[in-house]
Amino acid sequence: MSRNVLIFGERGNQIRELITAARLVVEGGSTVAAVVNDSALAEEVSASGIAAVNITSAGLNKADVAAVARALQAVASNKDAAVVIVSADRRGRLVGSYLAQLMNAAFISNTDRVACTDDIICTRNTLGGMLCAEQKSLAANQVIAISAKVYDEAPSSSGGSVEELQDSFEAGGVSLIAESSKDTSVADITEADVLVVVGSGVEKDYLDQVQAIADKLSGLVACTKPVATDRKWYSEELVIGISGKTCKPSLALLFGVSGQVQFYAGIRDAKVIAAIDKDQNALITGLADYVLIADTTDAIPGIGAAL
Amino acid sequence: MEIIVAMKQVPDLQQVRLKNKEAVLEGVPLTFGDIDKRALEAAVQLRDTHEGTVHLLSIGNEELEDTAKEALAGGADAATLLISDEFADLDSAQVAQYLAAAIKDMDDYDAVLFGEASGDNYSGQVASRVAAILGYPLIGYAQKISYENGSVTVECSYESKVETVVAACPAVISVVSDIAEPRIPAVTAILKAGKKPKEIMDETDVGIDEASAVIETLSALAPDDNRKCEVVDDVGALIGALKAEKIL
Ligand SMILES: Cc1cc2nc3c(=O)[nH]c(=O)nc-3n(C[C@H](O)[C@H](O)[C@H](O)COP(=O)(O)OP(=O)(O)OC[C@H]3O[C@@H](n4cnc5c(N)ncnc54)[C@H](O)[C@@H]3O)c2cc1C
Repeated sequence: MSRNVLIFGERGNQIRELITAARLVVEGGSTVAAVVNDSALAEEVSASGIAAVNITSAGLNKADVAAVARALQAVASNKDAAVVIVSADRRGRLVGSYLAQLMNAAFISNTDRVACTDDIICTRNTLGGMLCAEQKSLAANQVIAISAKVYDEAPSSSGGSVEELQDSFEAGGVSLIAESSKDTSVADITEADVLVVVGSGVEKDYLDQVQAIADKLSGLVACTKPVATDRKWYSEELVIGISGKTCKPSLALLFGVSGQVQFYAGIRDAKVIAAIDKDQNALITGLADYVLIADTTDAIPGIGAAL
Repeated sequence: MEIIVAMKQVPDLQQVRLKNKEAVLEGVPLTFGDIDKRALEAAVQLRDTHEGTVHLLSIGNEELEDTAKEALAGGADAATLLISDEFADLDSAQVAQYLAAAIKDMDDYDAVLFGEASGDNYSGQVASRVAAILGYPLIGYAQKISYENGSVTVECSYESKVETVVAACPAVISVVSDIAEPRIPAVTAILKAGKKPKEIMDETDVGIDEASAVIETLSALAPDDNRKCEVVDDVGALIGALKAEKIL
């Protein structure tokens, strides 16, 4: 069954991953990517051999989710696309779910795999990461948000094109008044072969020693959500879990991490998990390969010295 | 400031057990999601600064009346609860339709707050859908909200940047977990919770005969988490084990 697919994303690498996903479901249909006020990005993604639409409507700002969704709805309708694929980052989820409502569509969020039979079957975590579900749309239209790094970036290919859409769309009443960058100089934990993970059972004074352990193992430091969002010791980019990143390192060395499902869903695919926790009943003791029951204030210096 | 906080009751995941890879939910207590509790706290703080009320809105099965006490003790002034056996297993699109219909019937308010995503399904779409149905401004991933002269100024936390936006009220706002730390209710607040005004509605009261589901779940099973779970005696033994695995 041939399908036309509309893609929405904000960065080239992300859109190229979504193009790979789209190719699994188009079955002879066409793929078009829409971007907002970004001719360079439209040009860049068209190099993967697809049509790119640059929405340049006057007054349209990216922060106005409703207006962006209305513009995408117009592109979808114009291109006869009943399937929209967005990135499962914050903007993608927001715009995608609003668009789903406009299109009377299903919105399947945080999809880790798409497979095609008569329907598009999406695989995603549910119940806080405890279960892995297969879901499909019952509606004629569907918006699928795909997690980062699930698919490889589509390679360059000829046949792409760029067009501009200048129509104006009803504003959603949200004005952008300021913008500031977060620290994005942090390393990409999804690429690391070794991750040393800081949980709430680590004291702040020991972070340097944890970093030294990661350095000795040629790995990266990552963390649990409360360590980033409540204590603010690290960037949220380093969080593992359903609201952070999914990582597949050879070794995950966890310090003071209890192993709640929302965290574990992001590290489940590690080859070996070693956990240090002072509580022999902590959940993680049943979810790790090697468990050392110890206080992190002893184990961190101990491991640092032994490596 | 008049604020509605939409909260979802979810199973206490720490008490969910698996049997033949399926989750056993019978007997598992329901609670409001963690991020929803933080949305409630943010609403309570805004109300305390600007005066007004915080109104809890939630949909679910009959256990919701009990779960709602948690939010009423946590600072909500009143509750509208959509309760029916039909509401036990809805998808997000259905929930959004019912909630939006209930909101349309509620008195003037300035904002409808949601957590960024629920603790169980974590798909983060109900706020957007409600905003789309009601035609109100949608602001997502709020980490800070201020209110002045009938409009909100909100700092929104995206992965690589913070955007500050302004919208006229009423607005639909979803919040991230670091917006506020949920309070632990005092005993007096818990005692008073039962006496706060509550309106209970079913599908006929909200005026929607049937909202159709748009998602079908074909299977939901626990992945294989077969780990060795070997307890080692000391740091030396741990390093030895990792060396034996050839990853050190
Ligand atoms: C919707 C939702 C999404 C979420 N998404 C994520 C997510 O993506 N990622 C995530 O990580 N969390 C997420 N969470 C939070 C998650 O539920 C847990 O709260 C979190 O993972 C716990 O982090 P932790 O293990 O660092 O802390 P805790 O659960 O507090 O565990 C700390 C551990 O350290 C041990 N400990 C304490 N002191 C010491 C010491 N001195 N020495 C040795 N051990 C010690 C304790 O025994 C305990 O096992 C989410 C929650 C919700 C509701």
